[in-house]
Amino acid sequence: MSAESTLTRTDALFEVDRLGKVFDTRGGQVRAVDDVSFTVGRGETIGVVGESGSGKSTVIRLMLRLQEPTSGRVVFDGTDLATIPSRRLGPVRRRMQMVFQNPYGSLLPHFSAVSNVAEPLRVHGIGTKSSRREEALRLLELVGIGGRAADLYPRQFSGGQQQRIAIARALALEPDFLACDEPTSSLDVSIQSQILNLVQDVQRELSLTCVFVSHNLAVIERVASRVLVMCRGRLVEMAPTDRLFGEPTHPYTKILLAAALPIDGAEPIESSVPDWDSTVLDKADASLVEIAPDHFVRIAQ
Amino acid sequence: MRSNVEAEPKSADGATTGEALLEVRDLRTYFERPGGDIKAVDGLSYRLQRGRALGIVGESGSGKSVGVRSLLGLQPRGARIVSGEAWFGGRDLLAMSAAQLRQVRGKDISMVFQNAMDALNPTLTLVQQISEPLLWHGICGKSEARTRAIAALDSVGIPEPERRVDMYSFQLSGGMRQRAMIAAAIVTNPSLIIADEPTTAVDVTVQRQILSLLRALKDAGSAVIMITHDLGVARYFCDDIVVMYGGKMMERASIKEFMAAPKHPYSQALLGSTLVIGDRRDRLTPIPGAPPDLSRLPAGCPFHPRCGQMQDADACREPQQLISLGAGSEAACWRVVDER
Repeated sequence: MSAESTLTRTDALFEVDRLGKVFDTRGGQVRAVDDVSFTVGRGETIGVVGESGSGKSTVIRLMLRLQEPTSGRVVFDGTDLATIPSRRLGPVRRRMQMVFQNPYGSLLPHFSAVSNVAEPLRVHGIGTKSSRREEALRLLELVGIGGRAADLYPRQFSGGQQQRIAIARALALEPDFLACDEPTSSLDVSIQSQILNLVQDVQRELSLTCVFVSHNLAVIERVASRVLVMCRGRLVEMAPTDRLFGEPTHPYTKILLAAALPIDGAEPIESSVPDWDSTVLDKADASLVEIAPDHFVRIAQ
Repeated sequence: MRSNVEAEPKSADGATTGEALLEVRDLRTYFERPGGDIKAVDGLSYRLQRGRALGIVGESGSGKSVGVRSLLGLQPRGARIVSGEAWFGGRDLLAMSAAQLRQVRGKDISMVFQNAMDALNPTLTLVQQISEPLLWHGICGKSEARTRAIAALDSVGIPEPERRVDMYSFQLSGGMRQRAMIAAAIVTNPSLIIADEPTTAVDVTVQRQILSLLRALKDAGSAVIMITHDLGVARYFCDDIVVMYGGKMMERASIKEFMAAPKHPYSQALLGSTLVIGDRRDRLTPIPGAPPDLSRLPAGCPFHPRCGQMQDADACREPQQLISLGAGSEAACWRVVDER
């Protein structure tokens, strides 16, 4: 079986088909994303793991058409995003929102919390000034920023609270799809689990479809029902979460799992990370093979 | 408090300290503000022996970084060391003049930073930066320094060191850059290495390489202070741990004892809120609230407003003493007495 078979999954909100992105840099061309195909079912949460430079954030940006792909296509709810002229993207963009790694950088510093949350409504011309404020206050309440705090400015909040505001803003347009790019990575340990609980709560309550990008395997295991592992722009393994953590198959997935340093269980030993040269991905002619139901691994021909 | 530099260190009971390479006693570093001092570090004490690693763990604003930087006179502008001693090789670092400290920094004690891109100078080649401490401290001449720089790059696992030594830091990959910075830190063979979040900005696979490298230095007899917010890293690398919160020391213990049975409620909550692979809980148990603003610290234990075990608010609002629990283990919570 080849990668195309993943597209036959029914009821997909997103179909990502042979997606590729090449950046031209001074050092030459960089294949940030190379021939990546997968689907995201309605109400499903997909986790994407990989190290820096693996292309995981670029995949999200291509899905939201924040960047144009070099090749391949992204089909959102039956429509190829590339066929929509940019001036008519608005109604589609309303349905997909994003939460970024750096909450402070993603909020408008000169807008209060409530104005930040109301801003997407204003941009899309929804409601009146007072109804927008009311809706924004309701959303802030939902994420745990209540009362007088709503009129404070982003810098007056802690990192965790800023991320709550960013989540409220992402929910303002009642999206179907939420992309989270390392939303807990810049937060203190004691705050990370607050934000993860919040994301999971709103996802369940609003039956959102999510793609969750993280380098933290424990975060991905918690939130995702299916996991994509990326390395050097390629999708190297894709499987239901239990299966991926229970039977990691691609050498790179094994490396990621072995390199994690847990706080409990058997102590990791010095030599436990397998040796594998990821540059073989650039050479070998490989494709995704389904080795078990829904479990795909990139295997050389 | 500031005694003369060469005095013999005495521990609390008056006996001379034995084999400790570094002994820090009651370090306090404050930022002076008109509305009242900001107590970034408020009473930090620990001992470190050769060949061992101490982890200083805490969240942002806990004082973990200011605490170690104060030892080298590298505390941020506006910060003042108001009390404390730091005995290193029979001398008190905190009583030294700036000129005396310069003789120690980069020679006997060196630092590894979180971000090699910021720590290395992009306008200088690696050989210029790695040999700088050798030349500055007059340890050897220029050609010998080049040889030693190449050897240092080789020892941190950088392939083709003879060629790479003439490259600039921006020409290296992230992991290699981090290793080059470590090469610059170890080229003088320091007895103490202070590593401030050395693996936070790197990928997990690179993290293991960096930790292996630091472990080799430790096995060769250097002592390491590792500042981290990652308890998994502390467990893997460190022998002892100090937990800080709101500028104060919450707990000190061997890493084994800490992981098996953390004593302070904050330590327990921190371990409880750390995500692990294979966690089957439906919901996580986060610590409510956020770390405190140092300019508005609560009275007494800085953690008590977030503490799930607060049973007697009055006792929690009193200044907490570090209570010795035997075997070098201490915790700053009145409740541990009851449990003992």
